[in-house]
Amino acid sequence: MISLLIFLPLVGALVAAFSRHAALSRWLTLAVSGVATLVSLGLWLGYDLVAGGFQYLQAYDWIPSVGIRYVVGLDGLSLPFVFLTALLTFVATLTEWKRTDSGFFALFLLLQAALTAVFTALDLVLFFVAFELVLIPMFFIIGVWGYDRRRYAAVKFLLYSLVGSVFLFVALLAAGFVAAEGGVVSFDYRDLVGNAALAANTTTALLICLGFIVAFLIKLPAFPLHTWLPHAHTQAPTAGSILLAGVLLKMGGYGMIRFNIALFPDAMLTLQPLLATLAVVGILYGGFVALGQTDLKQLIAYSSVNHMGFTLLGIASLTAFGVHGAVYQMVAHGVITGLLFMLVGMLSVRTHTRTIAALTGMYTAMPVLGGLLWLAMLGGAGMPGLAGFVGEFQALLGAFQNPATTAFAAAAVIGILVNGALMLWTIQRVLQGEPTTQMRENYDLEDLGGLELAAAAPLVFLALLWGLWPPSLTPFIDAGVQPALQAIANVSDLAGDLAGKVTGF
Amino acid sequence: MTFALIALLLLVFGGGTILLLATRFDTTPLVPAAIGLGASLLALMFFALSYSAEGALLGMYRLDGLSATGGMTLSLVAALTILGVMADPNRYYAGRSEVYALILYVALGATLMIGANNLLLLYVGIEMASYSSYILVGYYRDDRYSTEAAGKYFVLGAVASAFLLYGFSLIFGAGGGFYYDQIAATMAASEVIPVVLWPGLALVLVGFGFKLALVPFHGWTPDAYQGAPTMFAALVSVGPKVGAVVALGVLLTRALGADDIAVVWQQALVWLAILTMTVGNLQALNQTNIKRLLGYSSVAQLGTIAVGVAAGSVQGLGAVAFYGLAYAITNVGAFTVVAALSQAGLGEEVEDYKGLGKRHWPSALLFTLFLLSLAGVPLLAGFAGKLFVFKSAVDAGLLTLAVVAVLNTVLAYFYYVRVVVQMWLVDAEEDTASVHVHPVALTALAVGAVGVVLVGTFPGVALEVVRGGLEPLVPFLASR
Repeated sequence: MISLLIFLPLVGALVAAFSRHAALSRWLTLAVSGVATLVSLGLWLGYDLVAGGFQYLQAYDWIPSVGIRYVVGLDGLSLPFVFLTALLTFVATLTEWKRTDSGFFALFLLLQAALTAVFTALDLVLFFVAFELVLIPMFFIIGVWGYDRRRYAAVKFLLYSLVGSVFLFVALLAAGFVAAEGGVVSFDYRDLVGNAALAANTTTALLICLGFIVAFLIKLPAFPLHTWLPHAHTQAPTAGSILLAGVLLKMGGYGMIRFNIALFPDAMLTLQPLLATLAVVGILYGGFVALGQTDLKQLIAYSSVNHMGFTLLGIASLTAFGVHGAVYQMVAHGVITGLLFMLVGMLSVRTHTRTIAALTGMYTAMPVLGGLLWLAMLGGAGMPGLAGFVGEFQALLGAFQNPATTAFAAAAVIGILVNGALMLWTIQRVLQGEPTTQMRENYDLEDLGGLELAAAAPLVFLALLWGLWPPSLTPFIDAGVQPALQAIANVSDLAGDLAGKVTGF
Repeated sequence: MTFALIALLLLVFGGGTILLLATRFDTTPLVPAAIGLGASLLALMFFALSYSAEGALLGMYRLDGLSATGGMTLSLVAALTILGVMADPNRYYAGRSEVYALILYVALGATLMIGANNLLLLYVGIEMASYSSYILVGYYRDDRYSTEAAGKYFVLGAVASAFLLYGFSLIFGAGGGFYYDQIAATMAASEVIPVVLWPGLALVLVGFGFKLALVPFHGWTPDAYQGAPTMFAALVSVGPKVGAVVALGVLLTRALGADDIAVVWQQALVWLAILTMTVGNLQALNQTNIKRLLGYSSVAQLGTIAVGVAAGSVQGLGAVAFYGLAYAITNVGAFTVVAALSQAGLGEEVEDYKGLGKRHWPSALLFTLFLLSLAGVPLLAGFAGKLFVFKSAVDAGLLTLAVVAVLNTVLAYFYYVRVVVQMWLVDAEEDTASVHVHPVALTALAVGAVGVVLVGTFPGVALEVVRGGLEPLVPFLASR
């Protein structure tokens, strides 16, 4: 079933690429991502929580002479992201329904296939292949269909990511060789978890861990490796921004929990202060820089740096609550920021501008669009009752629990204030008041149509569901992060007390 | 034994027929092309049949999987080149038709190099490929760039040959014979390595350095590629190079594989490879001419392949042969796109490729595929080649080399991506004419593209074929 989720979009992409009819490609993309959404939802509901671990496994030899295999499986950590990938592709297609290029839709299907492979791959080389493959469609989506400075943004995005990939490549090859200790080399994640040579407190393990983390910090992105993000987000077409914010960034956090913590717990303990520092700087810096933005899309892009800072803080805390919260935060950010980018895209199509100063009274002009944007902004601010709150709270709680990161958590709280202020101020500037006469006279400020409402509806529903009823998500994340927590518990007495099941949510 | 012989003779007589009847072909230019294509494809088939043969032809030409695979690769390269020439016969003065014979002889010479079991046959192979290449590079005899390129290539090539020949004679003196086995046996028997071997080895390495365009012996390459007719640049960047690099690997591991000699050539090759990759990539960065860019890129690529030779192991040689195959298909593909597009009226500057994605998307797509394969993007042939080469270096304990090689791939991304950006992300000027690419060229390109994707996605199959061919060499490499 997992292979179906990977190869169906791939076949779809081939058909769409060579099709002369844009309508066919469009419907095909919608159908494929719709089917994938339902299938991944089915897999999610069918996941056996009691048994835990990897399920729906498929394993075949791929390049046997080098020990590379095709292994895919799903656990609680990957399920939400696989689902989000399919769902966001679906809503992104609806958002861009008026496009008339087959290539655009073919690239989205390719992106969907690659992203699904990233989150399901259990062989390190397969993971790397998918990780690289994600870049190519996104590069073209930004570079060909983006806004004015698209070429600069696309090239910057590609080169940053490629540099990260090279570190990842060296590190994962080294991990395979070091773990084998002269024996049979395997890149199978299940063989590597708990490997003593990788988990040990050695310089080699630390260096390999650093190789992984550089790639993931670029992806996340964490300060000071984030400078590609504002450009890529701002210049990408709306659907590209949705996928970029919704899923692409999550590859970083996912990789850190899946690989860094689970494979190199001891090295992560060493790196803990560094990561926590980067997280706090990212939270504060992202928030403050976002305050100074004049472009609405760029503002949301910088607020992503702030949000992903909380994810990194949760990961750096190395506690059950922290890691759990990091995953929750990523899932919530995927839904809420995806929604934000979608709505801002719809807004800017109508007003022909993204400059905040030119936008006032949008709520008065378009109550439905304005209302949804209001909701999404509050979600971005981390208001209780919406998904963003739960993750941020858990991540902070985890960081407080671990004495090593308590101080960082205290500093990070200021970031919540900044972020709240940012969102409220933006609501005040963009949504409240009356639209300018110039805006009213020149543009047709029509409220959302049925198609656009249909695109936004699933995201609004999920933001509310995961905000009001966390148990719909918590047990799965809990099952998914156990290997990582177990690895930490093995090397650290302190964190060992804090590892385990997250209760009360 | 007969199959390999038939394959070699097909190349010999295919070329011979074309040459003998050349004057009659002036009115029917398609016939010699068909003979050339037929001969190379048949040779490809017969090389494939000879895969599991054993022994040697006349004691000089090894019959094993490696020589068969080499023959197959080079016959394929010859066939693809001939297709590229057929797409635009007037440009290559094909009315005089000897081009097809020369293309076959480049492939034949390179095949002989790979299969050589003997220094003399190795030399004959090298010279055969080289002389045919000199003529092809200078084929536009009225064009000053083409003649200048050929002049440079010829002078430096001849110097390199002199180095090689002198080196061979010294090795002959030290080893007491021309046969690889004989040399290896003498070395194993003697307690002290004869002193004359060292200058011999040094001369051979320098000679091969020129032939492979390893830095600092690479100066001639970009000029030769830029001046040469594009399809011949494709052939010359691949045929003699792949032949020579595999031949170097076989010669070093088989004849000079004794531990105390291997340490020396391994160190030398490590530094040559590091220099070649780094300098090649750095110089490629600011090239504005697409053929020069590909020229420097192929310098860097050869440096990467040399990493596998430096590993000096079965795995390393397997990786070299595999990468040779991947590089051959990819690079011929890339040059063929340039050739086909210049036939369609496009210039040869990177700038001229602006907006190609909108003007003619199939050729832009194919070129992107080949460039990404050269850059080493996963699921394309180049990535698998790099993976195997790097792994062999790590296993041989050459960690520094492996790390430098990986860092170099980052450098290389910059210039490959630059071309891709020009094609897809930059809009062409309003008045540019539309592009029409010859269907024959498109066919050859499609074949190459499918090959790049298949070899890249399922590298295991090709690697097994190559590895199987190395079995006879295992005893010589067992010490490493």
